[in-house]
Amino acid sequence: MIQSKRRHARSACRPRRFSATRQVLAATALFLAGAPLAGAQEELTEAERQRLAAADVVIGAEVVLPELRLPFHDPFDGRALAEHWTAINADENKYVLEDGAIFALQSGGNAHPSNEAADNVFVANGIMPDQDFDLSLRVKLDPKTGYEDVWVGLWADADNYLAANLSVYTKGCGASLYLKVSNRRTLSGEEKPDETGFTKNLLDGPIVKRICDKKGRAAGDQVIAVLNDTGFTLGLSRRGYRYQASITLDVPPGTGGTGDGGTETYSTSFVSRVEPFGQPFFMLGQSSKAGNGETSALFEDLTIVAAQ
Amino acid sequence: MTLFKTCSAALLSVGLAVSGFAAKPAMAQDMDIAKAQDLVRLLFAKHTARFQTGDTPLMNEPGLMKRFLVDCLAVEGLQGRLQFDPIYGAQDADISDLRVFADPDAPILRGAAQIHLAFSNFGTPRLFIYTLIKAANGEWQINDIYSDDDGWTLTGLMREQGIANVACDPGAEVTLFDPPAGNAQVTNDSGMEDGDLPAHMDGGEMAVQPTGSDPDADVGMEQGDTPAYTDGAGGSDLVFIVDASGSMWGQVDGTAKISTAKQALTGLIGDLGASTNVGLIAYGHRREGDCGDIETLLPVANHSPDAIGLAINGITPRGKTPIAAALEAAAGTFPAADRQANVLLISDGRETCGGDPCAAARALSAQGIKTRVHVVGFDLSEEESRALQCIAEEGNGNYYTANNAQEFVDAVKQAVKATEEETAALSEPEPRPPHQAKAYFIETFDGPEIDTAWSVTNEVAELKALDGKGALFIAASGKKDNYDHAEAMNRLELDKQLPDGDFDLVLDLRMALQTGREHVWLSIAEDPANQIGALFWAGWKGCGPALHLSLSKLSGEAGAKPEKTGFDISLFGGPMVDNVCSKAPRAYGDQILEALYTDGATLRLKRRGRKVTAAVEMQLPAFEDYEARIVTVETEPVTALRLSGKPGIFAGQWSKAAPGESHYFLERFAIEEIAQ
Repeated sequence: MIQSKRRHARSACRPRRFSATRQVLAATALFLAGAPLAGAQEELTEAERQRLAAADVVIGAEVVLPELRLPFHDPFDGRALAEHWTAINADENKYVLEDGAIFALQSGGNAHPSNEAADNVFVANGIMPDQDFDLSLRVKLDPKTGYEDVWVGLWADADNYLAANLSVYTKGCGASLYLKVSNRRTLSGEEKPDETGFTKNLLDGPIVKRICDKKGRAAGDQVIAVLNDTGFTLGLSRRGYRYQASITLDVPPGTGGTGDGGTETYSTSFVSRVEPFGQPFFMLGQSSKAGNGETSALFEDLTIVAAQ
Repeated sequence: MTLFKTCSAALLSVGLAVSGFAAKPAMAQDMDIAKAQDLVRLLFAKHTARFQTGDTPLMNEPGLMKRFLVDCLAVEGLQGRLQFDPIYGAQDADISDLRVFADPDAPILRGAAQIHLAFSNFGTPRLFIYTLIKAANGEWQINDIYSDDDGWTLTGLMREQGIANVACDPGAEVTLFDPPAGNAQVTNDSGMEDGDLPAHMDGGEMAVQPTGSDPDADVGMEQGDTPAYTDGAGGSDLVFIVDASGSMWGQVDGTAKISTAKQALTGLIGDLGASTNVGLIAYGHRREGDCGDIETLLPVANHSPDAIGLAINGITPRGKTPIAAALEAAAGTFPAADRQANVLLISDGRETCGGDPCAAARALSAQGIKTRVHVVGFDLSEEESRALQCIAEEGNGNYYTANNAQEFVDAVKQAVKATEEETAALSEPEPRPPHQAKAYFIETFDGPEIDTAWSVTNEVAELKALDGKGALFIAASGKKDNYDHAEAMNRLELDKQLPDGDFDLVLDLRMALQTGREHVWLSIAEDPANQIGALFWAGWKGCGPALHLSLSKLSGEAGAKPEKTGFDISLFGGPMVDNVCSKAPRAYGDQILEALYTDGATLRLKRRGRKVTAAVEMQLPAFEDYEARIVTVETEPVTALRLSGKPGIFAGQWSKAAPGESHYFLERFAIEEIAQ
């Protein structure tokens, strides 16, 4: 297991310094800001790149993560992860790049960014620049278990991340759909991490008014089906010190804000960070109630653009 | 889900039964009582019809409610502002066993009808007692509602919520059965079918008075409730002493003298000069046969006409006539010795408690060269008139007599006008410069650091930062982030001595209402348990967030729960928008909240002498039928005898906001000295 304990310095000066860990060192060795986004180093597996990188530095040495240049775009159209990604706790039996997407599997019910053991947390090997941005992840999610998640956001370690989350969660009236923004960190003076955030139940008002009657349940099921049929874009936006999650998807006629169907976007309230922070990341999650079930998703595209 | 068992037919049958009784009265009083019962029954029927259909509550529509209530109590959005349904005495209803009947022992008590409304709500018996008085046209109007189960009164609830009534003018009272010319007729809009209307009956001659359900718990004010006292030369203090002895029930021109007195007083209070502070004393209004029954209902201050009207209308004659003692009480009510001080005694009789009113008036006028005692005597015998005239003469004042209602109204107006003219003549016309503010300290939050005079208690650096755009950003979260919690994070404290004189603490801020539980606290604090401050806060109304402005004084031992004194104004209960649980007002309320984030507001903590108030000013946006406007709201003052501590700012959230974050942008803080 690779444990991540990186914490960036409080100074706003750049470049920011991080204490080294295996995956960071790997990233440092291989990633250069502004390098070609895809197509290089395909002959090496991720594990090989990590091993080579780890052998080339002194554990504990301070390293400097480069800053990402915006716009940042990865269409996942190679046969392996581009070199600007590191898969934390990589398990190559659970993901593959094919047909212009990352096909990812998840099982075991412990795939959550706060779990240090969670596998295949895809982390960019560069830190976000200190500016407003819009981060978008294009996904198709097959909600087979009724307890799956997609996460995208900024990540430093399991106790320090800020992310947008789309969660399928099944309760008494069937599967529902939650959009969440989650801000986890350990505040100064505290021993344990604190998590703030906002959650919006998309099938309890925004897209479908209620799912506990026959008509509403049917509409809810149509919306859930969209996640895998046409997919959705999960986003995280920064404006100043404030961060907001959003989802854009094609809602069926009879649902959504207008009832006409079509592309609609829903957003959460804002959480905040007053210092520049984190590396872009995404992952497929699964909660413990999934039992032995398997979750799958296609990550089709990730884009980060500077906000206008 | 509400299951409302009482159907319209059931209500109608009650109505028919009542009307049947009314149609064959044995006595004139029976007819009168039947009409009062009908009014209560129809109010309940209309209220129920709206409840069942989900329409706007009847109580929220003053135009309709004036047909049932005395106009003073028919206030825009009343039910919403009370956040309570005073007809059902509950938020939800499942009504059965409805009965409307007159009080078995005293159907008419001192001229006021006492009507019982009994029903079961969700199987629980409930009893309400409606007090009805007669308007000038002889029709009954509901003057109060008393919950026999819970002990509240409608007027008491209104006062607690700080809901001012509209200006009273009983002469133009809108009534259901006999609308004055020009008023809306009874139409289907009133919610009644033709068959619901009782037969119109000739009104009795009896003119009756408002009777508070709880005379001992009505209009008296605590010292801390005192609104601002308008100080300085050029104005005057005017104390009304109202005779509420039992003899005031006597009738002149078919109307009780107390009704005429109230009509006259409430009709003129809106015309008083802005620089006139008003006080109100009544005697004989609480207890029969008690010569000590004298009460200062309103201390001398710059009360709103609505507050004065409520106090006047809450008076119920019961007792004796202790004029001398009342004048002695008036002597202690004038806060400033250098202003024109007038007492206006309104009475229908002579002293009945053995005192010497002439001597008392003499003593009162000797208090200062600007003190006068004026008297308006009403329906007096010659002997009584001489006795009252003596009071005016000894009090260096004027004496007016009236033998009918119109003369009385004219006399009171004349007396008040004379006091104001006299004040103008006595006042030296020295031009006074307006209050001017001078900056004593300013923080604009646009530097690389905040002023070194600031310190931060329980600092959490990750939750605050200057944003480089002229604001200090603060994020709040957690269950301890309340303004009065010792562990609240990022409490800013300014190490700067306060000005000796009057001043304002001023904070320009923007606030993003994300949790509906945000609050900003602008204070003078010694520690978290000993502070006085202006609190600008959000709370949930059930249909979304609503804004409030509070003034709060905290005092207590460190670590213990402090005692709190203060006032609160629901800004979404009238000042900014009302009735926010209806669609259009809710949408406008949301626009206001958005504007609070984009454009912000200015919060003030104001010191004027010993008085401290909280105020907020905000530019409200234009939206649909709402016009853009600037609204400024200020609380009643709290007295701070020894103001000490440091200026402070705190931005937090109530505990139920977790795990959400609250975000604030503090854009400017200032201490402004107020030059006289």
